[in-house]
Amino acid sequence: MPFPRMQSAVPRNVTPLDREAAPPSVADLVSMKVRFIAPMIVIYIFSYIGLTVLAGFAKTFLALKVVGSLNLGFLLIGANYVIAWVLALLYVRVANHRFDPMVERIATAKNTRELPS
Amino acid sequence: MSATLGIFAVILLLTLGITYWAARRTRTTSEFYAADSQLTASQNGFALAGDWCSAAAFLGFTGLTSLYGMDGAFYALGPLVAFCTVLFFVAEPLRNTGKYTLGDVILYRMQKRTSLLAAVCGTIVVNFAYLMPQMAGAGVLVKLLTGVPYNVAVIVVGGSMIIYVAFGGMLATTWVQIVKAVLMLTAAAIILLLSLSKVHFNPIILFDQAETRYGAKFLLPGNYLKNPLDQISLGMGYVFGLAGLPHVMTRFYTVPDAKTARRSVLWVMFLAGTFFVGTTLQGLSDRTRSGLPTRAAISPCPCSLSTLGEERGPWAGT
Repeated sequence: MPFPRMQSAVPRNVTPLDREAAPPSVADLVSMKVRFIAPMIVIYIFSYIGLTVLAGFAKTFLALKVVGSLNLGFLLIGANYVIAWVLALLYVRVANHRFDPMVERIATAKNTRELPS
Repeated sequence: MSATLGIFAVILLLTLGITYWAARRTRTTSEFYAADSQLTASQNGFALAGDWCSAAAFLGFTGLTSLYGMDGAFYALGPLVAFCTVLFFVAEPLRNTGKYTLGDVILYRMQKRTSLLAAVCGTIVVNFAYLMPQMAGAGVLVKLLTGVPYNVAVIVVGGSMIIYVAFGGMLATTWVQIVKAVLMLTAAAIILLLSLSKVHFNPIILFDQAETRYGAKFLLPGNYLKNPLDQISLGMGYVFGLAGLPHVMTRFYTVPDAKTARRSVLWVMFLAGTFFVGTTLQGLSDRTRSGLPTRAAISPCPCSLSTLGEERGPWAGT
């Protein structure tokens, strides 16, 4: 999966004092991203591919009537639309409020370290 | 007949006008390939929706649902779910590489010239497989609606597409897509509202009508994708395949930053997603209102469906 190839932005030879005040590293960012995104991936892949498996192998289950002639299959298709929309909104929210500020902190720290002031 | 020809001419002139305007504003490479990366999230979102609300989706998903019931609804659901993959994995890194084409990005990541060749081959194969049915579909539609001969229609449509892209670059392409998305969404919304008004805006009645006329089997999977593995294969193809479509991925080079890239995905997911739900309801409505015979009677001769504007099934994946 095309995560950008990242190296830690913190140099290896930082002193303990530096490290205490050190900004979050790229590795921290990646681990936070994985922590947030992994459950989302599991949810949408499981619910969507799971539904196609049911469509292939459990037709009688999907035939259960829910309201009038609306069966469970169409209800689950509808649910998948909602899941995709909710996950997308959640992701954009988390990315704007968590990932972006962290990226900014890493970038500023990197720039100030590289430019002698 | 002449009224439709007039509308066709007006839209053609409008889009060529956009191309002329865009061509005058396009000077640098970045402007040509990426509209100078200055599009807003809503502009890029509408242009992405223009990619998706294509004739294949508008007619294909609707037609598949009215012919085969639930399998058509699966075709419509796939692209929306696939945009989760694009959003989580692809959109932002693509935008952040600051390149112009999918091949550039793959070369940048792989650092091997041969990977560029692979990307080029992929692009040509995908676009060829895409353009053939789209051009054939456009030719059939133009012929059906305006009476222009098929060959002439294909040449006019193909020629104008080349002009949009070659002269107007990404700026013209984007605005033509936006015009197309607005036209498509408006048309689909009007037709759907008219259809739903016949059932007092209660979609459950559509399902009831379909079941009474064509039996419960119509509302079950497997009428079109007969082998159970076909369903799973279709799902996998959508979830992992969409992120490799060159014409969709080029849209992410046209925005200024990652934040805008992800917001434009949100736009397309709500615009196109609503549209996809609409095609399923429209398909059910068309089926019950067109008075088609049972599926067994029509399946040997799909040509009788030309009145519905139905397309051949395998092309329907937009």
